Amino acid sequence: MPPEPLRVLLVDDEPLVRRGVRDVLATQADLQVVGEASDGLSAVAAIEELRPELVFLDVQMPGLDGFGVLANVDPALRPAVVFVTAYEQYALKAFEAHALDYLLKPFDDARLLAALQRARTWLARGGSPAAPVDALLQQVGGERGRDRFVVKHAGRLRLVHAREIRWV
Amino acid sequence: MIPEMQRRWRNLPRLVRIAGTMLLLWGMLFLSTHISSGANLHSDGRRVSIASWTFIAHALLTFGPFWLCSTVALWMAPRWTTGGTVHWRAVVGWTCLFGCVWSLEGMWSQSSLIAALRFFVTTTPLWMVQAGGFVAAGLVWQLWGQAAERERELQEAQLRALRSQLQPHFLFNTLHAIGVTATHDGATASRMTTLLGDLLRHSLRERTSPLVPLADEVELLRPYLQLQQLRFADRMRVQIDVPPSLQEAMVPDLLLQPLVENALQHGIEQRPGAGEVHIRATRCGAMLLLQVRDDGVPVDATVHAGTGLQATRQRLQTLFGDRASLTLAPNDQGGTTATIRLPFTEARHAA
Repeated sequence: MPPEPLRVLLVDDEPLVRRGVRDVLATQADLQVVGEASDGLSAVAAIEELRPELVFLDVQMPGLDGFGVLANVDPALRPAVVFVTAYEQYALKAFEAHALDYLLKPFDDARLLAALQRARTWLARGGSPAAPVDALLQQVGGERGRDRFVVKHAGRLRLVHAREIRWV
Repeated sequence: MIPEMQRRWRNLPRLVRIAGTMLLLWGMLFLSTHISSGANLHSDGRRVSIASWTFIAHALLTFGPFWLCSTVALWMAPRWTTGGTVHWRAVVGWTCLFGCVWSLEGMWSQSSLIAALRFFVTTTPLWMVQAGGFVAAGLVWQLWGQAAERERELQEAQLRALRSQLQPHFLFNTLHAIGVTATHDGATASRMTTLLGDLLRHSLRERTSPLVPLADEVELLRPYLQLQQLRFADRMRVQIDVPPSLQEAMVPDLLLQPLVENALQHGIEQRPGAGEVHIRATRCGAMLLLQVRDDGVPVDATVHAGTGLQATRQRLQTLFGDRASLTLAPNDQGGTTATIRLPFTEARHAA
């Protein structure tokens, strides 16, 4: 467990969605919601200013979408990302953007907490968010084409490599 | 049995169907002339064989004109047919043209110019009668096809409009919003469930008529708008402006839905801060004007041919032809206005 509370940023253009995530996170003692943003540009500004370690990021937003936010953030400040969306079709793109998890609306507290747990584990193990991102970048860069698939498993979307598929 | 035959007939290639129709028509004409003239088909073999050659020759000669009639008629049909009935100009025009052309065939074999002219004057009316039959048959042929096509297009467009109302992301977002609201505001969550229920019930309802009174169409927009308003809270204002005199105006079912969704998407979801959507109906002479205005990011009208809008456009075209239109234009103060023009009819006058 980190000595400092985990710094979390919520980015979504729907106030209701932010409220839902905020209410659940408020039950967790080891984290702190440091800020909220309701569009892409203010999300970039908030990430650079508040330096969150974890961001719950909406995909479809006014101005700049979730992927645009990640592309515009200084790579050194890139936080761990959990995408929050109603669109299933962005899942592959989300994993390519190194999202830790992809929360599909509607989701309940349990799924949100599971995503949070993944983020905790990942941050505790990696320390610096940039290192695994580089490793993933190399991996993705080396294998182009349709060799990765998004599969829904136990209510969650996961990225599966073609070589891991035994039978269809 | 008969529907099965109809289906098989429709599945035949077009040329085969035309050739079949030709042979049938000429066959009936041939038989009726011989039976009515009292010719004995057995004893007068030579006459019959000449007549049957003439019959085959005519069948072949008329095959071309008929094919042309039905093809050209299809091309001219949008201008020459109104509301599914053949316009008299179409029949008269083609009848005269083909009557004259077919009559020219016999003129070549006349001995002198005078004889040729006399032949033309005396035979042309007969040819015209025959050509008239073919032209009318060709047009009816086309109209049948068009009516079936139109029906199919209407159903498809209505389905697309429905699908846009029930966009999966809209449903999932709404369900999520209900779930979140339920934890802190049970009454609102319950209200949202009711609204979603209204919307789903309307979407699942069987449709009997493609046109509904404007008041109903607006009424059905309300649950959708209220749900969106609850989702976007302070970010969205909606104004609906339909004067009492236009409540009974007939409009296609689910016409406004794609426009409003579009306005919300570009006017509110894609721009920071609050936005307003203004829905307005006005009458301009014989036309009804429906406008959906947003004050969001300006939309490039050429790039922005979204599937919902395209379906709306196609539906208007199918229902009203060139008498209805859908245009998108940027506002002076920013944002976009979508305008639908369609013929004004009221419930009691509507067919």
